[in-house]
Amino acid sequence: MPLFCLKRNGKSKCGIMDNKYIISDYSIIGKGVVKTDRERFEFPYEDDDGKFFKNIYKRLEIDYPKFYKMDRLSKLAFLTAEYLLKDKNLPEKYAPDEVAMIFSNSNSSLDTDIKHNNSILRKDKYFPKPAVFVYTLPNILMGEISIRHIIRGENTFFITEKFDTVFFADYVINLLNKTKHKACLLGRADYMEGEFESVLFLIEQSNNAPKERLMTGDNLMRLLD
Amino acid sequence: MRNSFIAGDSIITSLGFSTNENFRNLINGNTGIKTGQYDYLYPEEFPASLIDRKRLEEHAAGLGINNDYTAFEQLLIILITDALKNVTVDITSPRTLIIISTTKGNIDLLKNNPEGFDSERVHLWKSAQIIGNYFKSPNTPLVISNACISGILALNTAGRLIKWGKYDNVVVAGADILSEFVVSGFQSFLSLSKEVCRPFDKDRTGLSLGDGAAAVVLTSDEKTAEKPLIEIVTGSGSNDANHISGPSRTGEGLYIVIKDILNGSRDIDFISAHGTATPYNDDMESVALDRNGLNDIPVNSYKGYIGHTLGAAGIIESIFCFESMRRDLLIKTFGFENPGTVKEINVIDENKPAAVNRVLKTASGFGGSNAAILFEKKRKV
Amino acid sequence: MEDLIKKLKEEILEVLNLEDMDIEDIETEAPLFNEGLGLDSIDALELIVLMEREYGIKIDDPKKGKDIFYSVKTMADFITENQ
Repeated sequence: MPLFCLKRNGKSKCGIMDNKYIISDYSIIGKGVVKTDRERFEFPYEDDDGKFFKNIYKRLEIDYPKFYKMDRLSKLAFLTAEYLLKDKNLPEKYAPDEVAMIFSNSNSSLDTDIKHNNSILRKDKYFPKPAVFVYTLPNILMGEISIRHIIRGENTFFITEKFDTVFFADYVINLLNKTKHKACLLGRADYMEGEFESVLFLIEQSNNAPKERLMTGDNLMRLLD
Repeated sequence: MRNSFIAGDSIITSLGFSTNENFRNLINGNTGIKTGQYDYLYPEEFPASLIDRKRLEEHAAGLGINNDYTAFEQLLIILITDALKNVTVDITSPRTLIIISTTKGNIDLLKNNPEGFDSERVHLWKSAQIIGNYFKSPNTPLVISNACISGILALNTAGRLIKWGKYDNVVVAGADILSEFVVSGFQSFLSLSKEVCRPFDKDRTGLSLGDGAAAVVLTSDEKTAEKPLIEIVTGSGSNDANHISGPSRTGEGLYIVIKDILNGSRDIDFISAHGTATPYNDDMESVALDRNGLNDIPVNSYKGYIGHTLGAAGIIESIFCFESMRRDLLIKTFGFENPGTVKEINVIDENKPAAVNRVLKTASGFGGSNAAILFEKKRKV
Repeated sequence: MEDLIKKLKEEILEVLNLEDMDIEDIETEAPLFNEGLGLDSIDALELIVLMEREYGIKIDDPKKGKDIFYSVKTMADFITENQ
């Protein structure tokens, strides 16, 4: 059984833990690049976030016009999920409510919040847009992913300054061990104009996986480097 | 496995500055939603439930936190302090965690920042950190921001962390203050009622918004817990996977969470529903209840008293449930007169004494989110 | 009327983020919701904002929107009648 160490608030606590969960796959989007377990794509990034996301969408060759209505944060998270799940056929392995989604970020929906705020700054040009306002909540990105992939398990959005992989690894393992959920999408997506990155991990059960893929905070961290 | 119990709580809304003051108003059938010209929120008259800012100033002065803290932060500090009164929970212990629940926190700073707070303050984690530091908590507070189900998720997460042995105590606090940011957005959705909201009523026309804040202290220690013992039994969450703002016509997510918790059982004394009084939400809830065979269980919405308090709603309304359980008293749905949901449900239309031991609290929100939590009162042996 | 219809189509493309389309793709008398362009409830609200911002016509009740926004033609008729 693996030795499992938790480091939190500077103190280390080790114990034996029955950990049958693995990071079975992941995808990452950064400026100019999309990376998954198997592949790495370079996309030209010419200081135009919108164009960058549109190119990735086009490359995926999916017919999903709803994509164009999303705000930048949701587009970022949506594309990350698309790369992770496109060949997975999750519905074959799990019932919709057996897949949980845990997301976090630091900026919440601030980029879109600023856009909405700008639309109400002047009394003579006061036209708040519902299509913008709806995205002034960070959890909407989980809604977009859920709709696309029919995921009906528990969704929770946390706001944390940094990606505390130790906390989230522990939380996800307990969630999978002690609730009805059998798999979990663990993600982080931050978007501000010109500054963004996202990652989405698929956590599942497995009996034979390489130890560097065991679901631990350290292993999650390593995949981010 | 350990259990998590309520050790203390407090509420601040238009109806007052304590759980008791708020609940007294519910018993007396008073609403805090008033139509008025609130220029700082919207150019036209509309109904809203607003916290008395003068009283807030006085309470803040009492703690010496008038300067250096935003109104949002002041509310949380006042509430956590009040909820911890006479409770032997050490908030400075590493075995105590703070969880904050909010949708927009200090968002008003984007537009109005006369005190000159640092722009970083708009970040929810930063605001939470300020609160954690005030109480000298050694742990980074956890922040949950998940639309209108944030409060239920926060309580559920707290209960789980205690059950799983991660912490011995958790202080859950939530707040959302109305701002032009929020009101303008809801107006653009045409979802605000022009009168006090009427949950489940056949003539309902939309929701009313409200300032709201509350705190709950949870503990694993029965001796520390308040009596009668009220426990978080379990909770669940689900996404409709249907639409990012419209409720699912089949109530898919809500159906799933209720089924997950009750699994066909009808052993529930009372359901505190979300009941925002929009035509679609209330219909959706009736469908989900119907699909679970809960048409006869007494159900209410508290939103006619204090409006929709967004990130604080799940916490405030759960505390109202605790009060119902403590007093064995069901509270009517203010604003409701005639049934008007697509499926028949048993809406409480007058205050009445009843055995209130097992309560289900539900919430739904933008993004297709749904959550529910089950509370149980341990009867005195 | 033709100019108004062309203008409306351009505005619809812009306001509803229909990026991969142009005005030739929008049939003047075809239904905008459900079939046709498959617009949803948020799109309907955006069209209400468009009516107020561009044409000064305020629609308070979203239910009235169903008839007004049935097609580009009904929208053009409504504007012509109410301006």
